[in-house]
Amino acid sequence: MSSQTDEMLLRRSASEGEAFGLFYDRHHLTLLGALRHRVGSIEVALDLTAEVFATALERCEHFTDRGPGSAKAWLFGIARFKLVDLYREGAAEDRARKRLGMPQLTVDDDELVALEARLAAEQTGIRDALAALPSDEHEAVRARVVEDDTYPVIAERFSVSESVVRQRVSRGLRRLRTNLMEANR
Amino acid sequence: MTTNDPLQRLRSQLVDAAERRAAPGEQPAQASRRSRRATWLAIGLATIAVPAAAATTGILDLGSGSTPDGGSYTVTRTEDNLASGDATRTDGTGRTCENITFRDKNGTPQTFGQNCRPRGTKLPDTVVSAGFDVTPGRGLLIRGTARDDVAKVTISGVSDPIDLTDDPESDSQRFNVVTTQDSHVISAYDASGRLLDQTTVDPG
Repeated sequence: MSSQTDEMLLRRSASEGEAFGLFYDRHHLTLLGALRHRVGSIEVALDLTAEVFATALERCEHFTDRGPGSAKAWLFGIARFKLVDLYREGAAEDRARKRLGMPQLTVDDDELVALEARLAAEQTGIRDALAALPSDEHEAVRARVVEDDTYPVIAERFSVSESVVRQRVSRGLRRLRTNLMEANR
Repeated sequence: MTTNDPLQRLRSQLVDAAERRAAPGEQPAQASRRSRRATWLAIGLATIAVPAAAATTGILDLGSGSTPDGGSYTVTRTEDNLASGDATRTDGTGRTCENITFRDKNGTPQTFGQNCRPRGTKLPDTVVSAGFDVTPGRGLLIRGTARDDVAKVTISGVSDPIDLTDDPESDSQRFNVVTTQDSHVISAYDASGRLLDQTTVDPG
């Protein structure tokens, strides 16, 4: 695994194809899983994932590095726009892929079933790691990341200050990351 | 490449496309600008020519945050392709609307504002522009867009840096922040720290 940050990889992607490949390696499963969750179809989610990465490649020269995590946030920002297009057009667009001259990605039923199984295994791993967190961190991470509640709302629910919630989420995510990395070794 | 993993096939396609773009003779930035112009033309034409079928067809979360009175707000964008809300019209003259929803500290939602523009129109090529809504708790929600080359936006009276969110479809960036109900000066800077433009919001 490259020691370069996502932000470094994106900046290099305009001149080195493999840098974009490494950026893809890090985020494609997370993005596919998130889109699968939103659209309910692995086939549509895969199509969207392809278009999101193609758009990211087209626009990587415009990416502005605003610190750690900004590249991933930028990628998921593109995904949100593609979701809007999907709802508007009724089908995933392929404009970026066409502009890049990418062939259509054909997938058969067996491959789709295999992808579903892979995503399910990935998500089970995350659920198990989340459940293994101390209960206060588990609840805070679940509320902030899974349920997308704001810090003030979570603080009120657990009768603690906002800064305590932020600490619990931060500690929980750090521990989650460590546990997942150890599990994948 | 022959592989049974579609994700690996996609990776190969992307790396190949990236290598082609990086090849000598290709000017990615120019090509990208050309393609964006073509995209905007295509969107404009499609907006005029394609009959519409559905009512609200998309929602985009543009940001959220907390208000000074302990509540919260979210800004979403909806796009429809109906004329004047008439479900029987299919002339494709749709709108893009920003909807601002405030929630009080108990989480009770109140839809508070909506700003719409004809769908398919490009945002004005201003460096920075902003609008505002007064929150239920007498705060001020400032919403705005900044041109693609803006690296930093500051708002007088707000000490924290303003988050800019990239909008790939319009070559602009968006921001929103809640502050006090005063007049505020919004300043846009490029990456070298040079002041590009300023604008003012004044709730009166």
